[in-house]
Amino acid sequence: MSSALKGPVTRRQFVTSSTAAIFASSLAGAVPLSQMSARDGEGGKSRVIIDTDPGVDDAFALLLAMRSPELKIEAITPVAGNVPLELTLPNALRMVEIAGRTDIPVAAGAKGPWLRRLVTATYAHGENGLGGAVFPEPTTQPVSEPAAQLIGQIVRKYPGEVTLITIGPLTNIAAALAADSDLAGKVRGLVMMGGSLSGGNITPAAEFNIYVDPEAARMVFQSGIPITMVGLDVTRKTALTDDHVRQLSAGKSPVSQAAAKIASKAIEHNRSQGFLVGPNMHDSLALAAFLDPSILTFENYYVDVEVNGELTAGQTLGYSPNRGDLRRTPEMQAKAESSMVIRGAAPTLAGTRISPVLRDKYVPNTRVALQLDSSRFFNLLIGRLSS
Amino acid sequence: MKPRSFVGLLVVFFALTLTAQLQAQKMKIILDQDARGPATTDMQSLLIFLQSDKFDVLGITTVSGDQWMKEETQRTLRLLEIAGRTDVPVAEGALFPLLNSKEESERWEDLYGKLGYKGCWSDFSKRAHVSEAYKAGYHDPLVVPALVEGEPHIKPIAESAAEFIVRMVYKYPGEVVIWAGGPMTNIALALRLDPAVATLAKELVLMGSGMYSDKGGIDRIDGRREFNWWFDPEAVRISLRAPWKKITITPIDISVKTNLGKEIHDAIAKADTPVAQYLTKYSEPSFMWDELSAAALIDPFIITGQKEFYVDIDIDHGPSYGETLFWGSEATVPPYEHKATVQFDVDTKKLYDLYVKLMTQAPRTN
Repeated sequence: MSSALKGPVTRRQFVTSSTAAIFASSLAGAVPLSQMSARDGEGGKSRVIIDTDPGVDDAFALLLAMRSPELKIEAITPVAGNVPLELTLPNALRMVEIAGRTDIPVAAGAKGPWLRRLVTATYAHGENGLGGAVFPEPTTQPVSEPAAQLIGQIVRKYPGEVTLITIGPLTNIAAALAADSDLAGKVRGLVMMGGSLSGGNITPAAEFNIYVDPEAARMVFQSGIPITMVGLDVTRKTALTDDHVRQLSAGKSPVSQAAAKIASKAIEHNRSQGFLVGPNMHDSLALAAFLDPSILTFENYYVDVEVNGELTAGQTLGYSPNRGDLRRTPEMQAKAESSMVIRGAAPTLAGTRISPVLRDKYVPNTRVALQLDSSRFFNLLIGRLSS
Repeated sequence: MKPRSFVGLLVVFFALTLTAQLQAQKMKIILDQDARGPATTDMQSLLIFLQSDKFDVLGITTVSGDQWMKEETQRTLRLLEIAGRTDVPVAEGALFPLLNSKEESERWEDLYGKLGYKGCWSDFSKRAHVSEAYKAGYHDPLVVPALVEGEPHIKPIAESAAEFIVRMVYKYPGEVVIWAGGPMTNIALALRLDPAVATLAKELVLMGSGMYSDKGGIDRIDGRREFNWWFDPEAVRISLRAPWKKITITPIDISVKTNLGKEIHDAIAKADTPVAQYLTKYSEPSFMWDELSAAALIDPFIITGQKEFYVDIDIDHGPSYGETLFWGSEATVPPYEHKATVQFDVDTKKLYDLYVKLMTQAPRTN
């Protein structure tokens, strides 16, 4: 993973050295990066840790993951987000029991964001986080280690092998990274449900997971870990329908039945709020992106997170020299890459400096999912859950 | 028995039990420090704790700030050898602050002006300092230069600083003083690992922040931009809003009223102990920053004036990033703001006498 780094590195240099090499290979087009796929693992299995805040779509994602034989789920680490940890932790344990996978360690994570008061999304996920669907109290216990510690232990045990699949606020991940400055270089990659380059949900600017803990998100985007961002740009196209519920109800397994129950309650909850479309399966799409990247197309960006803005805190900003009005001919693309700079806001006074206020060199740190084949996604999701 | 000798016996009895009690009541303390060396306020404050018989030093946890953590750890291990205190474990802490970075500080300087001191992000090679600690140019975080004071043979423990802090407060609930002499990254990490750290610890004591001072700040005159706090503002925000039983702060304001000068240097040079010689060789004239905080824990009467303030920090990434915020104790503030005891006035004679006494002490035999 850490390709030939010339001597000791700053946190910044992690970005320029280790990720530049990976992204250089994908500059030409939408070839999915092999490190970012479940199919590339040792002996056909990929080691993953799933960080989650169940959450309706989290629950689906967990069930999908536990129904995916190509994944070796090393741990599930709940975090506060959609609902408080007091609910996300037992909800995760419930899913593990329903899937008959109590071999997977579940480690309790953070009760709240790094620096902000927890904002939850019960308007979307119901008071209990599962759309109001009731399941028995779990009997399985979480492990004694806190999530951040367990993440560090597992990544250090399998350097270069573990992909972090993050489908909640990034509070736990940032804690694991901050505690061990060598950890980022040992993570194989990170696939997140989070962010958006096309407007937010909880605010016009921000997607919920990043909004809840913008500081943690910035720490992750600045860590140098190669990131696959599955954001609202594509997850808006994953609305659950009554037809999906029918298919799931027809499945015989406890997983299928549980998914059908959650789905139907979630749709009902959505309708009762007056929403016109069903709940989106954001987090399952992040899992699917890792299982089969070919259902999506990706573009490389330098992504950073707004932490200040009165109106925009939690917004993900994607810089690319070859998008929108900046698009160039293929011959000029490479030149554009090397000359692009990342600007900050213009200073308020016309001072002596007339050059742009530079924040950073342009080095892509994220491949962002921009297009989705939703029917292929649902075939994968419903297919695996109901089989 | 005659009444007088009975009273005499009673006096002896009580004196003995009192001494035994005092011995048993050593203050359990964790020293979290951006341990720049050799000498300087960082090592000098550690020596105060190590030389005094008032403390049960549970461990030293290192954090990047004045120097990078890796280098500081080696210098701390060497200090323990010189002071004959290799019984004290050293746990490595954060290499980087939570969000702030050398690059961000350079962007800030582009917009708002040069900073006078940036710790491990500084290049000192062109400065006219004499001491070893201030001679180096900038080096990368993982580089550990050759140590003029000698290479240590002992090693840090495997546990991280944050994990160590959490374990200690559970081991000795209600007893552990957490002393922070540098940026608060490790404290914040410990709190995020387990929020109970704040309520299980006895007290948070720190050197940092500035309120009214017109010198000592990292850009000379702005005393609210103090180095430890500016280096990792988010860590301070997390630490100051945690529900500690007590917070005690040594700010710039009181430190700039001290002078570790020639007189003290010469007094220490007279002693022929490893610690005294280390200081004679490597120490340079300075204000007393962390030493003051340490000394006040031994003799509270060194502090002759202090105030209760609500204290917080600005974490907006704008011109005031890292500046101290404070309100009078009568102010109406949101519930997440906490009061701290902030020290303002010092009995310098008591301070210097105590410092020289400790630094010229005979080496321990145990």
